[in-house]
Amino acid sequence: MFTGGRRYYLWLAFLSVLIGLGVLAYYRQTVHGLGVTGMTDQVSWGLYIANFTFLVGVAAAAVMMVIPGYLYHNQEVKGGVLLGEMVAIGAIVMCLLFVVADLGRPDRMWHMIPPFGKFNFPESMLAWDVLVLNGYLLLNLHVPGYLLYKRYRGEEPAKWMYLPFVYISIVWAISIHTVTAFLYTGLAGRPYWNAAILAPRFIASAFCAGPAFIILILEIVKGWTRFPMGNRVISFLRMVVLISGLINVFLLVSELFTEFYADSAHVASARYLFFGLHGHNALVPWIWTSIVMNVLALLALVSRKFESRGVVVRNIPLLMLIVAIWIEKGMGLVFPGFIPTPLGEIVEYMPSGNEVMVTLGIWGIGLFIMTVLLKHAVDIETGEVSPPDK
Amino acid sequence: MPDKAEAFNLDEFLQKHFHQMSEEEIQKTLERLTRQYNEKYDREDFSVVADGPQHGVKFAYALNLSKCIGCRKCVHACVEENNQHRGTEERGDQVEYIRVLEMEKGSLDVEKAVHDYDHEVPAEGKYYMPVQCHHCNDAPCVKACPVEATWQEPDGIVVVDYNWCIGCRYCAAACPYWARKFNWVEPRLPAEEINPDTHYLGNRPRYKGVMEKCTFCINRVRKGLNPACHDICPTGSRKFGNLLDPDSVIRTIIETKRIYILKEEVGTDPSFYYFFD
Amino acid sequence: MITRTFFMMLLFLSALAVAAGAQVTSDRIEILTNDHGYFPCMDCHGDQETIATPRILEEEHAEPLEWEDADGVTYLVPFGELVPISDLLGTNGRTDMDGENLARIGTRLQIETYMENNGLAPEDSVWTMVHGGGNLWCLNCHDSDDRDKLVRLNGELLTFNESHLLCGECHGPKLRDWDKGIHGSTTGYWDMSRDDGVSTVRKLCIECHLSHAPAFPGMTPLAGPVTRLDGPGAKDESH
Repeated sequence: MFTGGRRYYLWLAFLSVLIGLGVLAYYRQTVHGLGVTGMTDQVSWGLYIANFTFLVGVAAAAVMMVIPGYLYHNQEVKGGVLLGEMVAIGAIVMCLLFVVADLGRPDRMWHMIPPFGKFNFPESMLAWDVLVLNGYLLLNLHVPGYLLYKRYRGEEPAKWMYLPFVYISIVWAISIHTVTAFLYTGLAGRPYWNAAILAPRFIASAFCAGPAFIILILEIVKGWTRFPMGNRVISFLRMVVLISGLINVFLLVSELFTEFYADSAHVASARYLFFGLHGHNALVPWIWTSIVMNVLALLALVSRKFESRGVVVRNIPLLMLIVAIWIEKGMGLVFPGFIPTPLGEIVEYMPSGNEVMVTLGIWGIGLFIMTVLLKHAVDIETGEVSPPDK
Repeated sequence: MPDKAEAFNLDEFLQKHFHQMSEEEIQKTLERLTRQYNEKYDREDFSVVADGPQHGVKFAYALNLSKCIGCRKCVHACVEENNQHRGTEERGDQVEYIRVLEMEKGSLDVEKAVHDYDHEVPAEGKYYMPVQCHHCNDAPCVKACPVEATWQEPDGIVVVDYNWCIGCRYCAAACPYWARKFNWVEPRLPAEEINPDTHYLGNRPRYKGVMEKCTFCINRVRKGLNPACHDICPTGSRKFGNLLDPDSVIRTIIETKRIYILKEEVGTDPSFYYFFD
Repeated sequence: MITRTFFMMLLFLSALAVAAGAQVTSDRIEILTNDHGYFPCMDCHGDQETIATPRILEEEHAEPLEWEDADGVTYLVPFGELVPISDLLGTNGRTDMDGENLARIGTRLQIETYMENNGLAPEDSVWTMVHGGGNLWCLNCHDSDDRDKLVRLNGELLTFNESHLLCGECHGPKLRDWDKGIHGSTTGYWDMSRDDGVSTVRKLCIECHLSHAPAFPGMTPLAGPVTRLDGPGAKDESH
């Protein structure tokens, strides 16, 4: 962390500013309560949970590299897996921080830990989520941590110390996002969420936005360090992004048809989101922007023309996908679930400045962690860092 | 507006879940709470009890939609009985457990309902449906809570342990009746409007950052009294009682009237019934 | 039991005091008695809706009452016995009193026709708007001899505290429901085994429904809900 170029330090300094402001904003929230956010009893989950939902997907996407790397022994990919896992760690930490930021009484978090507390497992999906997320974090800390440590010492890693965990993490990655989806789908009182399509859609969009995020990181690593990163890894991931993105769009079309063909009373939330309801239409421009960005980006990927272009141009579609899916998970999923309320009331939601500040602060922390971990991983892999006795 | 800083109390921080505490610990907790409330609100007469459920009692509520005129007296009686946050001074956004819907005659669809009607009631072509916690026997909020801060008591009341809730608001997302309310800020309770006769699981003053909801006026019903909303209703639309007593009003209603359950299809098996008469 | 009766009486009297704010205004009574005055009872009992104490009348109604309206038409309003229609004819040979008999039990007074003929709107009538839609008059419920009592269809007399039995004659299902506690307002204990005998109160019919204008009045509702924050689109409509 303490050796690096100017860009590295400037970036960390910028993130530190964000983090500092975020901490101040969070302090304000603990003093005054969650009333400083834009949430209400009508829309009781907002920006924090929207970001949480999006980032769980990003975290799960690390598995997209683990599968070919370890299951199919694709050597090229293997190198990139470590970096993917660093991204996953950062993402998971952000997820956990967003949940904590959203709690009314974070001082009572120990209430979840048995035997002092009471853990409503297996009934509560939130309890499941806490378990799988923390488990995934541990897995992602252990595997790359062990491998990098062995690499640092120039020793050969023992297969039994990491391989079983790798296989477990493949299943676990799918589970974290599935459990998060089940958080929503299990609620019969919210017909917009109580749909089987949510879980597959979560996975499809996660495996679209996640690898896109990882590609961006890999491009940065490739461009700015001496880490051996071949083109095939990135090509492979782009293919994953494209296919998942196409599946995601197909599932969207399927949702739209199912909701609007019968036009039953249960489509109120979908109607609010896509077309506005009773004069309320704050989300309509957002969702359509997201869909347009999604489609355009996928077209660009399909045409493959972009692949051979410059580093910025070829990654614009990926950035568009990340933003489009972020909008989809936040504004497209979380907020409309609350609008209208189960009693038919419409109260719209707008995050407050304090809320945005806390959100940026947490993103700052996540990116900070990712940056530092990636730097370490890159340094160890390229041999720039080695133990003093070597 | 900065809040009155609450002194850190180690006993409060380490307080166990209601079900984890022994009789003695509960007593000590009640004493501590009584002391804290008296101090905070500058009074001497606070009482916090933890009366348990009676044997052979299972509460249910029935509401006569032919008689409700939408006057909202129940809403406000409830606020007074239950020491609810009165909202900020500027806005007056008080926490209300009951929400009265002005429904279109000919439809059961809540999407068409109006919540903020302001005219003489009852209005032509409308009927009125108050909604509050249904105290479901298969409550989705009870399932959702990650720390078991909310559960259904043996007498049917779904309660919240305000000293255990972590404020994640998953229960609010789960509730099909929009019955659960959150304390977004430190609750404002004017001294002259305090009701000092409280129950640990019911109307004792709550804290910032925790959930709350209708408790069927647990502090009253466990003493044999009717809930506040029941008694204030000018048209007698609200009926309450013990389902296990074959001579009770509530049993008679269920046996003789055409009752139905709101949103029955979500399968939560409520203790709250509506009927037309 | 005595405490209960006294309590009920007190409640009844206070309910009548509440009647001061009732829909039935003295304006309409004035119109009827002064301008059209076809309802002789209202002459003396026009203030029935506005004062707490019921009027107690003596033998003045032992004979058929001869009563003249503003147009100089004389009517005979009989009490206490069956009278053939011919005897009802006043000095001008006219009667607006329909039919069957003007005995104590049930009479259809052609109020609608009278009002139509005289260009009166329904709101002008104390009686068409209210109890029975024009099918009832004073003596359906009040005993002609003893104004302190109400009278049942079978002739049995009731005190005002037993008025619910009278109401129940026409409103049988409601009375059954009221008896079981399903209809009407009961406040106090759900658990009667803990009731102290006075705290649980079931209101009599007339405590919510004015006997002469029983429709439950409309009212202004208390303040509606206020959301914690205005959402972005909140200002432009009212849902």
